[in-house]
Amino acid sequence: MNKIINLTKANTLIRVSLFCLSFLFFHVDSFSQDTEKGKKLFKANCAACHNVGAKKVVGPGLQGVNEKYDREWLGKWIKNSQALIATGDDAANEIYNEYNKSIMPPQAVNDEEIDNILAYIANPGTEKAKGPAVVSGVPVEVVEEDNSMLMFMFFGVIILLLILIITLNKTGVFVKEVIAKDAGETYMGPRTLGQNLSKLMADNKGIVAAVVIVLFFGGLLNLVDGAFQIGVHQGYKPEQPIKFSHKIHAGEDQIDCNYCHSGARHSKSSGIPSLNLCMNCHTYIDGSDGKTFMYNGEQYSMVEEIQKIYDHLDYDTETQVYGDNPTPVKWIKVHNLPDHVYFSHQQHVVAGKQKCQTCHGPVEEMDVLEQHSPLTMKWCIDCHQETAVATKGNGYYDEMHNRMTPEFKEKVLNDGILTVQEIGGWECAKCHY
Amino acid sequence: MANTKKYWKGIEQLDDESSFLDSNKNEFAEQLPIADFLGDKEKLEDSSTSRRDFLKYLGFGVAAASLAACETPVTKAIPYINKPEEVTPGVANHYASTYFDGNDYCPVLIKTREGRPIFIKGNKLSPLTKGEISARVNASVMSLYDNNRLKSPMINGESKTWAAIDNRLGKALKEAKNLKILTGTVISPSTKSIINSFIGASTSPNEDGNVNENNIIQYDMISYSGILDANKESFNKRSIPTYNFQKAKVIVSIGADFLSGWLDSIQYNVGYAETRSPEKEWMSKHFQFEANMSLTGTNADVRIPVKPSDYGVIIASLYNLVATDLGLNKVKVSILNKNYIKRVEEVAKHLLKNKEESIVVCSSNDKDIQTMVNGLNEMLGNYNSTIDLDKISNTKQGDDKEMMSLVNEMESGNVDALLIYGIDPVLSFGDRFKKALSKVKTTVSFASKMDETAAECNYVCPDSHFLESWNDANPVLGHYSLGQPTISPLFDTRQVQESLMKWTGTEGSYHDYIKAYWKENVFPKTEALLFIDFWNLSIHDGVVETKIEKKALNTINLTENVSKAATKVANIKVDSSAYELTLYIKEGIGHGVGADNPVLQELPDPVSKITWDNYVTMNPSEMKDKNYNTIFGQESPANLIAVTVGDKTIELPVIAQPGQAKGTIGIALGYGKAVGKMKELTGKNAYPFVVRDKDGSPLYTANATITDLEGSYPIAAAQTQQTVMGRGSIIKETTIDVFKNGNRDDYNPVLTLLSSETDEHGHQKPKPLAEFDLWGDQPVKNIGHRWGMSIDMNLCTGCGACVTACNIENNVAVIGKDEVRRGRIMHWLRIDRYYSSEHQPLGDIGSTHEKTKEALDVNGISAYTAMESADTDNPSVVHQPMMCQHCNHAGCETVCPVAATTHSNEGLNMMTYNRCIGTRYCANNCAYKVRRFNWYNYIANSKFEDINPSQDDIGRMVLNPDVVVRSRGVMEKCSFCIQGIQAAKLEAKNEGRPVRDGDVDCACSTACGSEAIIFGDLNDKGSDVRAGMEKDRAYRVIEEVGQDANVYYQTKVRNLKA
Repeated sequence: MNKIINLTKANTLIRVSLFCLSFLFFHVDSFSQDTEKGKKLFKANCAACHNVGAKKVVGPGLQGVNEKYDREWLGKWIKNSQALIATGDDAANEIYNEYNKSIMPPQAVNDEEIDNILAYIANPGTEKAKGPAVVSGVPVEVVEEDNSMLMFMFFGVIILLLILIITLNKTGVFVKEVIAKDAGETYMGPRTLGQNLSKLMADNKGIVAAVVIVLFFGGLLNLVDGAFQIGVHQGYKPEQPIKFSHKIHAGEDQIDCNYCHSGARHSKSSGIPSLNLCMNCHTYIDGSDGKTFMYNGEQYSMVEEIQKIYDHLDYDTETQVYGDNPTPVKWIKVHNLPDHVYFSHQQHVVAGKQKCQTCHGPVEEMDVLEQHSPLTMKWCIDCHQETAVATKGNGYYDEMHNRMTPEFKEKVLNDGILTVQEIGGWECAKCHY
Repeated sequence: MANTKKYWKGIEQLDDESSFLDSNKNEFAEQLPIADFLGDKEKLEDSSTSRRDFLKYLGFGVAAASLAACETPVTKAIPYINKPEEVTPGVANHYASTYFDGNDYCPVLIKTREGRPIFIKGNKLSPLTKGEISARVNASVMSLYDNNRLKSPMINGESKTWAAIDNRLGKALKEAKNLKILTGTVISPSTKSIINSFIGASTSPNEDGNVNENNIIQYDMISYSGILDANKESFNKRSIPTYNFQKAKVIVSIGADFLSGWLDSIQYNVGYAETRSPEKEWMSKHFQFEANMSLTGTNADVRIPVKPSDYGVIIASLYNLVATDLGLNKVKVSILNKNYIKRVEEVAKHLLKNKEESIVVCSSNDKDIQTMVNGLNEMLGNYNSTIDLDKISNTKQGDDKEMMSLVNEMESGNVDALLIYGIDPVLSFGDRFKKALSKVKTTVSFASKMDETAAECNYVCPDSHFLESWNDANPVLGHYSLGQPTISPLFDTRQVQESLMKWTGTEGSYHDYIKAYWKENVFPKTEALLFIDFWNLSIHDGVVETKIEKKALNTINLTENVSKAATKVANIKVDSSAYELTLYIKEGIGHGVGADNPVLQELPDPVSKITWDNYVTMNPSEMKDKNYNTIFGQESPANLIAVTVGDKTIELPVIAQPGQAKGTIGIALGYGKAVGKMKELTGKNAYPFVVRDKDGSPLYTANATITDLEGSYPIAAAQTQQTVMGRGSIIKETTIDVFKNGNRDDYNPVLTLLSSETDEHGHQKPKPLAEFDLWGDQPVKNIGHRWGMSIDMNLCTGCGACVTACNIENNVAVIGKDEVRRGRIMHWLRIDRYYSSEHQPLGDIGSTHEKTKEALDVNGISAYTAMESADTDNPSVVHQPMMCQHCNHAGCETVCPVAATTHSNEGLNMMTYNRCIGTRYCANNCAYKVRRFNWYNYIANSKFEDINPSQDDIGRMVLNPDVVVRSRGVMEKCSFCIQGIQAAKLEAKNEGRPVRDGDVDCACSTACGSEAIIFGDLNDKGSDVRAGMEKDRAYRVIEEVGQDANVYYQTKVRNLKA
């Protein structure tokens, strides 16, 4: 989607008359007891460095480890790899050297737990299975819209109605002709639909005038309303070059907004995270477990989307080496404030103690990020009028209060709160300079 | 007393030129061309656009606009691939660095945003400059983004790669038998060391087996060899001492413009300002003898216009007067012009009264005159008190004798290879050097732009900009500073040091080299324990001080030498028929570094207020004798004259300069370069007028003849289009005696108006102005913040650093000469320079005091006319920075039909560009004429393509992202740098503390190291600005108008008797 399309009224009507299809998918587990326990243990203890497949992460991929080594050796290695290496064990030293002598820390697990983990590695289960959208076992609602079908039906009904009117008209004229014939006269009245309509209008001039006036003013109102919407892109929801889902990151994984948008606390701009920040997690989470996710109503494979990060970074997942030709991701900016507005995230988030959601809406529920608020000046100053300043325990405001005259204090504090407007939040040069 | 003085802004005002008066009735001197457009009926009927067409286009326009409005183009957001740890988009970083252009040294702080340097301010940690900066230094950030910089190395005018250069040039240098390197003064010790090893590797050693330093020649664009050689002879030190102006109770300058361009003027500004507060225990008394009206001269308490040929006589006379009093031998002196006798005696008296606490400086580049100055200072005991010969300054090391012998050697064809770094000798030395250069086989220039020398060289290896480079400096003995890059090189340039290291075969980067050099040479001189800590701190602070040894003064035959020198000087014959020309350097342009910088070209000259040109300055009364036009304005172009010195002639406009000594003229050096994409050169190169003696030592004075030329030349002056005629409450000034008496009513009376109440005799009672108010008290006076400014006219020298700082911080548009000429200069902050005529400081020769008084009895304009005969010859001068006064009862606010300019509850007069519809009512109603209107979209209109640096992609990078770039048709004005106020308030709120005094600074107050401009919260009882407001000297400009401004000025106090 390269252009923001303002919805026409008709389009809106159609949308209102939409109905949704919902499909519910349930994820069913069918693992034995110990693989289930093993999976949990693996996630808790091993997943940071190992993959259940053949892929190297920090340590080797563990696929086929049960066949390669015997159970006793594995137990020793897992409990204390360094001790095993010290005994001069060939297999242990081989791995140690292969991985540049990086030490696998001793794991506090008992034999039963090791069994469970190994069982899980031997049978990582249906995670590889392709299937309907499964995200961490949570049922996902998929919304589908079929615009073309609806449009077809809408126009069909209109055409049917037209045919009906024409037929009725013909029938009416026919009936009148017959009546006239019966009376021995020739029917002289209007014949076609057009003639009929003009007669109708000529007979009811008052009503026509009223309708015209209503239509004119209604149209004018509509025009003015429309003009106010120029440049307002509330609901703007472009698809991004990487199908990044805020729903997964901020919602399900509950990553704090400030982890990625750290600028919000320090700068006027909240910032878009650089790719090295993505790699803090996506070095390990590469989507190779075959999960899929929903984005803008469509299903995408995680591995493909995460691969885009690697491609941009020119990162080779096998050798874990960064290449020389990284390219930046060209995200599409969703919230566009005009250049003549100075907006500071820091002001609102730190000094004003506002939540991100106040302006950005329930981002944690959006897979495609959309512009939640209109970002109009009215919207800004409405909020400034109502919102109380976070004065409590702030030395700055204590000093400002000391400098107030009693009359001024009385004036601004009579309702119990000091709003942003009352300390100058409606002044032009607070945002425009 | 204060109310009887009259001020005038330009000759035309003083002269009662009727055209000037007429044009000044109007806000904009030129009529809008509406009549041209609509008045001509035939033209209108002929025009191809019919009414129907118009309606069609209108309809189409509306439809197109609505369509365009419905679809907004997609904006991309591109984050870093790998974000550097120290960069947060939207937050500025500051890095300490060092500026040195061969003339000025200044430790600086560079403000960067997202990796782009956008603002330069002085480094307050430096004990030398204490945060002072000059217009040239803070505007140098513009030169980084100059698209005319060389973008790659070149061989014979063709772009090449560095590998090709290294290959070919490496061979050529190896083949050279006689290789020389010619540099400007190098104050970087590590660079010196690199040059030494390069010469060591490329040339044969001298007899002692050391590096042959004869192959390294230093040459200054502006020579100071007069002082250097005199010091060598007098004290066996070929160096410039540190002048401690802060210790001098009496300052005598003979021609030296020490506040603007003479030696280390940035440092002298700080010291000078320290002595100029009348509230302090003592205030210095400053005498200035000079021919041109210099910036320093405008600040002097007593200024005596003299011919440059009299400098020697004056110094010798002073010497004799002092010697007589001390019972020492007199020297030979030719006859002193009787006009000066009393003043010279007065000066001598002051000097004798303040022995060891005075300072005498002279601009002459004549060794003999400088020897006499040394003798005079020594007699007065000024060495080791006001003049420090231990703490020598390294910023001027050029040796004209060496340069001359190099030129001779080049001419003889003996030089095989010459490398030229940091200077443009073809420009300053002239054709002789150009010819000599053509005889050298391999010539290498390190110029970063294609200057006149680079154009003559086979190899051009462009140096990176100082903001892209590592560097170090040792400007003064015991003082080191570091320069660090704040941006990667924009073009394919390489630092000189890196190039030389490459050709010498030195491993590693220049950064490593400096670090190693400092570890070995600077670190041991300090008390730091660990090198790594010392290094990190040095990079952070930018400056390091080391201890130096104090030595006893060692004079060598000084008295004898002075006597010999005096005899020589007395024997110089003066040709009194010719005009004596003094070549000077301007605050903005310097010796030429600012000539290609549009911001500096548009900075009005501090004295003449003329932009975009150099010109001949001449005394107005002499111009009248010659029937020259003494008015420079939009409607009145200047006369063109040809000035001839020797066999060189230059055509220039001639400008009336009150205070110019009669029989003298002045021309600024450094001009004659192309700015931006302009094809025409700006101004004329006056270096050919520099006369050299046989040793190559140049004199910046010469005898000139002038001839009239046909034609005229338009002049773009920034002042004269706005008048404040005859209003005494604009400037208040007094003398130190009156001030010290302590009665405020004598010099700064509280303004009163007659009230409706009457006393017992039926007379109306006067009441203080504050009691009359149409609007009632503004709440901001007591509540919250009230941002305000205090401007001390005693400390303001008028240098203009604040103006360029403001321009760069606030994205003020450069509009070019033609528009400035129309009175449309966009500067938010201007410095008004007022000449005043009444003062006859010593009340002697040719006093017109009585006449003036008499004249003042005449009402109206004729009073000014009467003053003319008095003091265009020697007016006193006041500089007054003028910006939006942020009036609490602002005239502009009440007349705006769309409420685009309103008042904030913090006392700010806010300007909302997006509301403005351009009626310009506010500008009409502004009492201070500080509102500027955007007549064009300067950053997009093709008319300004050549001039406005923001019109190209690289030039645009300097724009401050926190400030909107204004478009056509809106008014703009000073905002008190509200972006800074908001940022400081936010920081305070985040940290939960009140805003501290000093947290908020405007660009102008940051740039003012002398603290003439103080900004802060007038409601903060402990703030400096509040203290300024409460001073007895404080007043507000045209306070009687009742606009209740938030800018307070401090009455100017001159160190004169009442």
